[in-house]
Amino acid sequence: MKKLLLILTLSASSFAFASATTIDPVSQRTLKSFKTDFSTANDVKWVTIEGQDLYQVTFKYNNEEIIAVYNPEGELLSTARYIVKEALPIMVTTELNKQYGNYILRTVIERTTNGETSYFVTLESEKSSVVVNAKPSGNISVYKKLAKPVFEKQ
Amino acid sequence: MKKRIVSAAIMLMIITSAAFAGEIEIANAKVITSFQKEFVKASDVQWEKTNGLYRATFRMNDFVMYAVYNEDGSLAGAYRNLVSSQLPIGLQTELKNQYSDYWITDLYEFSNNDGAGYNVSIESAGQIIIMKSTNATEWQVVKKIKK
Repeated sequence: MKKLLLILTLSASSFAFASATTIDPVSQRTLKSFKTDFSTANDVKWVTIEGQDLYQVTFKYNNEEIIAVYNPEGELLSTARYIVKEALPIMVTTELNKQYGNYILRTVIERTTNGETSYFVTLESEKSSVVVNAKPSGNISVYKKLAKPVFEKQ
Repeated sequence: MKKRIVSAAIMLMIITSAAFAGEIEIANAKVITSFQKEFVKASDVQWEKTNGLYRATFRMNDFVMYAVYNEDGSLAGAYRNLVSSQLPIGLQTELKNQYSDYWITDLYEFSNNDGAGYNVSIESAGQIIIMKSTNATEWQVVKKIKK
């Protein structure tokens, strides 16, 4: 579920995700940029994204799993990671309380792409689940509606 | 002894009712209603009134937070102190990679009429830099001060 959501999140950016393979070597420029951007990263796994001429890297940084996408020129295009709900910006939390007070907050993904950061929040009620996209200012829009709760009852 | 216990109970009642009355007086009903709706899980709430604005200091999600309200109950701004690991990833890496010789002296999240974002003050042996981010992705230098 987590992996699926990350892929869904990244696929919402300006490029579409095709299947990923580990065939091509990563360009030196990209590797250099990655080492500069995330100098303390470990458990690094690269894949190329077929038909897109892009690299997807999964790694751990400060004990958090992050997915990032680079182009062969070494430009960081997008990152995504799970964060705790407490780390949501203040206005996102207040708007969620106002608009989705009856829902249980399940997961939060922070995504940065095209120089903007936004949050994909999965909320669940008795009968349905919804994924909303929240801007740091508290502007919230529905990203995806799901008929059934995505998580099993605990 | 019995007299003392009764006196203490009355004193406690007076103190409690005075504190309750004070809160009502400090923050009006509209402000309190808005606050309770926007910060559902707030605890340890304390109100102050300054220059016609109501300021609540409270705890929520393990953070000490501040919310400022207008008389009509509209939220004028909210703030909370952070540590760098609570920043969005882009802001974290920029601080780590470009300002590794600096240490953080102040870091907080804000949300007000000018927008939402983060402010940081960093300091080295010779300089203080104040930066702001409103896109949660990169920092913009607001001021550089030589020591």
